[in-house]
Amino acid sequence: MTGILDGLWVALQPLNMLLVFGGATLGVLLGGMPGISATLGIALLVPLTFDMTPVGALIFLGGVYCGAIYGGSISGILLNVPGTPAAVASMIDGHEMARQGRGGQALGAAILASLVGGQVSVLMLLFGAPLVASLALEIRSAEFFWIVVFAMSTVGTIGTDQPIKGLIAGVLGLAIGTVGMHPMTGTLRYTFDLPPLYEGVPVIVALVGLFSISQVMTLAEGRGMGKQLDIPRIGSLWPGWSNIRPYWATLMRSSFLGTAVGLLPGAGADIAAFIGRSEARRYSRRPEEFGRGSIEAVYSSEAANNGVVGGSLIPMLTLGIPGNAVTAALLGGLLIHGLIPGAQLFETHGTILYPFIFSLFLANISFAIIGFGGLRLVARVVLVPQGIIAPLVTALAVIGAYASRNLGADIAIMLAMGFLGYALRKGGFPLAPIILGVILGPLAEENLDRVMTLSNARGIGVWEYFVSRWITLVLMVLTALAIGWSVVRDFRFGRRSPSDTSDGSAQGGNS
Amino acid sequence: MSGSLGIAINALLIIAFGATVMSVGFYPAAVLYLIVHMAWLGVRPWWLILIVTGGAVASIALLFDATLGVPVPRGALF
Repeated sequence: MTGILDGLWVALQPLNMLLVFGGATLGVLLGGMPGISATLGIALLVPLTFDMTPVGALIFLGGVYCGAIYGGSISGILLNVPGTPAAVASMIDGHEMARQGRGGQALGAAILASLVGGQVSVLMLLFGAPLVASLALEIRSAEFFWIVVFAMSTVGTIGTDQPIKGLIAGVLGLAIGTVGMHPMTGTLRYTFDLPPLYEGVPVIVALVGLFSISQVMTLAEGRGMGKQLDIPRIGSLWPGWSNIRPYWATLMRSSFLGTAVGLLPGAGADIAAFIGRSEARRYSRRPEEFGRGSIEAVYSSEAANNGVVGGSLIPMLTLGIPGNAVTAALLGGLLIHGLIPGAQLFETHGTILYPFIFSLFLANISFAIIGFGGLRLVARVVLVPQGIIAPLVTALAVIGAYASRNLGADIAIMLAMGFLGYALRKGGFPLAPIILGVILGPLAEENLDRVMTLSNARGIGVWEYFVSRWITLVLMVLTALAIGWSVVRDFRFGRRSPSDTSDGSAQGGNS
Repeated sequence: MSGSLGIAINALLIIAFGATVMSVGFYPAAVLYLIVHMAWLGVRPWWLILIVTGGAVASIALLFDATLGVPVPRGALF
């Protein structure tokens, strides 16, 4: 309890409050720009944290995360162009409301729902994460290896109609994760005698390349200043009590649903928003209004997509397993500051984690203040032409890649990863499983090595060792079912309508 | 301009930027790259390109380099 109160005290320090407000502001601005996802926003801003304390860095990045998930709804509602994939669901009814002259109400509803969803999920994180961490302490190498394998078998396959491509992307990520020195034997693998690759492909460099350069290439496909879009009349942002009171149940249901979806590996804010919306429609008294400018639809999707924030952080902080691309980006930020996520983190770095969790409450309040107070100014960023955004993202990506190790070679690695990511996007492959593979591959390998050593010591085979433990056995069965189901879905349904992954981020739990 | 040629030119501009950063330094390379790429992408008028380039480079220098101590690639020119 003292740790929790200390965490609150640290989060309330003026500098940390400034960092969280600054992070949320940048998050709203970046999330508001069409084409900049929360993942890309965090990847581009991680270099800003290199000189910060670990607490300050986490607080800042947490602010960016919360702000960007909300910010995506601004351009979706005003221009029918979602700032992030997570905002697509809110855009359907939000933009319709804007067309009917109720844009202000839609934006206000999005702020309110994002605030409620975010706060509920962070509350769940505050009390749920230490509980999961204490259970996770019992997890041994064999179980951990199979948790990673299970996560990789589901990441990229949820919410897509071509799950095989998600699996292939995950395997590619695992392969990239094997580059460098073997953790136990010291053997060099796939390094081509290039010293910068001896330590492997750095997570931040891979992340920045995959998500920024591939996005720059996509944005740069459309030349010119684009259509001259006009922001419609916004009007009052306050939806009015009569438009809030009847929807509390919807708000709470979507918030809990979003948190639950966030816990799942592979499901991100985009998927949560659609699930929240469809569940709200199921329970709604006026389901026929969905798609025609229903404020309830905006509430449901926005509460669910911000609900993902707290949920997705639970497996990342307690097991070290990011369930989606945006938490993978946050994990990259943690690793830079020497924080290795996992069950021990709450015991060893509770002084960092609790302030971080409390700062997320403040981040949600921050974007609500920015939203209600300065939305008319913030809304201008949605009009920035892609021809300006794309080169600026490249410049920031070069700094991000270089700054992680002060190595020029990292710029080349980043560009190679970026062009690979662009080619994969064009082929309809999701990018989130690749970065998760890069992060989780070495963890899986390290634990498998330990299992091999243990099984050798017992004089039994590795598989015999695995099946001797019931949790491992359950995870193996779940993995087999997940892969089997993906194959069946791909052959049964996937052939009918190839998914559009032109933004490369609408799949695999991206945000 | 065919789509694939446009994609190739975008890729070449990005690669050229990455290659020149280490030789001439981030700032001169970034100024050149931002002007050329924005112009190629059809951003107009020219004064807008110059203002965005100047603003972006100055912001990076002030925020990343001077205030937060983020290492920025140095080269022969800067």
